[in-house]
Amino acid sequence: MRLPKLLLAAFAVTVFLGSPLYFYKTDVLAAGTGSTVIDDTALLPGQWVADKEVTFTGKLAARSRDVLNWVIRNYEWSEVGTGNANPFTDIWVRISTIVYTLLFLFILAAAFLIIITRGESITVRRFIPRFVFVLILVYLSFAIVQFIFFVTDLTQGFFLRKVGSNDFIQAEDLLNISWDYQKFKGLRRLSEVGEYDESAIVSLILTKLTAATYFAVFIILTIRKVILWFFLVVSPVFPLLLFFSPIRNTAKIWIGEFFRWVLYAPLFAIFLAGLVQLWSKSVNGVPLALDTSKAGSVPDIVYPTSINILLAGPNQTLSAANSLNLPDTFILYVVALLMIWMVIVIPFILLKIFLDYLNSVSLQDNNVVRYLMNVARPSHPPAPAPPHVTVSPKPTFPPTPSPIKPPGFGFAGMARELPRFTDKPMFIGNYQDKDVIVEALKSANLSIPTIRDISRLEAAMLSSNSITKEQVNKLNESLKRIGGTSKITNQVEKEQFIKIKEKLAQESGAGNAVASSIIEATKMPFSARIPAVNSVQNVNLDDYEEIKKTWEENYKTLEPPADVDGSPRTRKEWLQDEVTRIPKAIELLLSKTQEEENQGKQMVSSILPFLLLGGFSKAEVVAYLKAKLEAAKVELAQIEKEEGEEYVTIEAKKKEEPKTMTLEAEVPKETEDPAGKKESEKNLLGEEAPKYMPDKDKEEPVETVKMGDRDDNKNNP
Amino acid sequence: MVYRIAFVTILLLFTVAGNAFAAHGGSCDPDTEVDTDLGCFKKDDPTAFVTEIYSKGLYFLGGVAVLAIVYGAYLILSSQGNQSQVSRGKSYIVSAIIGIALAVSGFTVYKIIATDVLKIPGFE
Repeated sequence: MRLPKLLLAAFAVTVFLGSPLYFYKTDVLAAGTGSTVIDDTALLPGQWVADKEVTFTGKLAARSRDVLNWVIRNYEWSEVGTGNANPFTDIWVRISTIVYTLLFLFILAAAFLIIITRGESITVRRFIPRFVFVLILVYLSFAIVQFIFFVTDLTQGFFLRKVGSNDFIQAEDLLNISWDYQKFKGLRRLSEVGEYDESAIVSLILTKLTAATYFAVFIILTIRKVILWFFLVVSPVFPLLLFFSPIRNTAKIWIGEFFRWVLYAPLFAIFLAGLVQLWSKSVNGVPLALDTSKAGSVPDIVYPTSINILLAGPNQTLSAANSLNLPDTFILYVVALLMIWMVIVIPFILLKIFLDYLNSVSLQDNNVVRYLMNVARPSHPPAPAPPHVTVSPKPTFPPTPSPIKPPGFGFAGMARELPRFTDKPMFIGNYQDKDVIVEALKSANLSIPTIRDISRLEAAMLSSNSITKEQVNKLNESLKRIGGTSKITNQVEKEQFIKIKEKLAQESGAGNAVASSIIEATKMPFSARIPAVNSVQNVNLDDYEEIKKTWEENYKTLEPPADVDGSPRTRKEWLQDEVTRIPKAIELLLSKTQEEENQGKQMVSSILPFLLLGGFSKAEVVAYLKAKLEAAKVELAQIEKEEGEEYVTIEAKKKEEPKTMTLEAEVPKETEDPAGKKESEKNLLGEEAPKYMPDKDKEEPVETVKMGDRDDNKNNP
Repeated sequence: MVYRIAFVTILLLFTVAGNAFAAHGGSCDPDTEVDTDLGCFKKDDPTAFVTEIYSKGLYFLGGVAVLAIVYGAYLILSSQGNQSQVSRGKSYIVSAIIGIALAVSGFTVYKIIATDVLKIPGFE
């Protein structure tokens, strides 16, 4: 749009300012619409002199008429034929050869991208069709672009021909310039006090503007032809630009400009034909309230005729007395000129709007394009399921990934890692890709927990941190909402959850294990069924070791929960209770009677929904409980060991009193024997003393003589 | 993604540097060839130029593919049964093999299409 404006402005200024002035006498000539010309120059009194500027302007106008006629008659994009005679073929072949060779490098680039991005940005399946498509486009680019040109030429040819005739619209159908270039000589009326000068200048300006208008049409249509030639020549490059997304925007701009210039001429032809039709049908040529009834009446002349270029608007009878001599005829001419200008400008405006819309449209967001791509693309096949592993008492499952620690939780105690369920368990059957599953879990802010998540959840429930407890409660609430056991006041939300439940039921009926596990998790403990086999995820042996370690730490650091009656417990009591309770729960869960199994489920009811959500089998649940039990036993033994060491320490403290020694000697006492028998005995000195034969029936009192103190109580309790 | 691009850029620089220091098999013909860091290229012959570039690109691509395979194998071997790591490693290896296959077969197929089917001038 800017280029034609600038050209025209420069041209108009040059023409207007650069024309010289000189005077000579010559015949009067006429210009205007080709309706009627009356030679009544006798009506122009006064001295007429030759004028250089008028001559220049007249000749310029004649030239502009010639070029306009030529450009309309030769509206086709080129005059050459197809095949070898076409001069564009050779250069196109050379450029397309280069493009073909560049496509080689595209293969390399794609291979490189596949290796580096592991098929995430581009795959062979996406690359090959695109590559083949681009190859075909490059090969056919000349033919396609030329065909587009032919179609536009066809449209132009239809509208540029007059209705009911094979003749083209010419300058005579617009603002006719009817004098011959070579014969024209300009004359100007001399004025004494400048009474004719203004009229002369205005007439000259209007003539120059008319010439400028015709030149503008010629320049724009010719520029368009040249641009189309160059577009044809570089047409092999367009498909290359469409290939890769980073340069696709450049392709969009190029293609936009291409279509702007291609479509300009047909639009111009349409508007021009409309203009000619309008002028031929209207009384004044334009549907405006202009009174031209007094045109040609000498007494009514307002603006005198001052040059020998006579101007008149559409459907006017041109004469010396009717050459923009009235305000209405002057306005008519100016409006006619403006209308021609609008025929030139409006196609640009319309195409600009169209191009702006095209640039703003994103192909990826377009529903039609997406639909077409979905139709064209084969349905994404589900990934092959990993081999199903049967559950055995000591399974050897591949490990699951370690969970991603969620940010932003301020936990107390051991409830540090409340799982936001960001880690992905290894699903069997790739069910998590199903939209309904994703939607259900997303809307409920859930995801399938791993066995490690279960231990963290349970720890979170025991934790004193209200935030984590609240999170767990929310998860439970979400499950209840899906199950329909929780009251939802918001109707929209309620309907949403109902729909989710219906879809899950549908999927479950179709055999989707994840859907089944979600539904089981939403049921009450007694009605829920723990599956015999885990069809949702694989569980690793290492996980149980991890669970055991986690629970060892939990039992060490978590605050012991209160007893059933609410009374506080020591850590030892808690562990002893765990050591008693867990085996019982295991026994009940493994029981063959439903009632006992229900009791077992009741014992693990706090984590049962999450166990069911994870799709864990009975064996896996039991293994989890066993791991927990092991941890409890280890901690209990540790506590008991620590207590035993304390006892030994206390006993050692009691022994430390001052120590004394005592010696005791037993000295038998002499006693009287009524029987008269005295036995002498040796005294302490060894002298034989009369033996004393004690009475065997009598217990002889023994007198102990203590020589010092001695505490023998220890040895003699 | 940023690390991958950085890795590839460094690899490319090393490759170019290596080529720059590598001895050419004789000097280039100044009339018909241009001496560059990547070797001699024929003037005024885009087909030959691109073919040379492609062969050098295959060399570079081969290096990248080998590294990708090695890395993938390392991931698998060090996975310790971690399934996600195993699948990552597999994807590296598979993508490398696919990339190499595409580059090699693409060249061959393209040549067939260009010379035998489309008979593009300059591809004889």
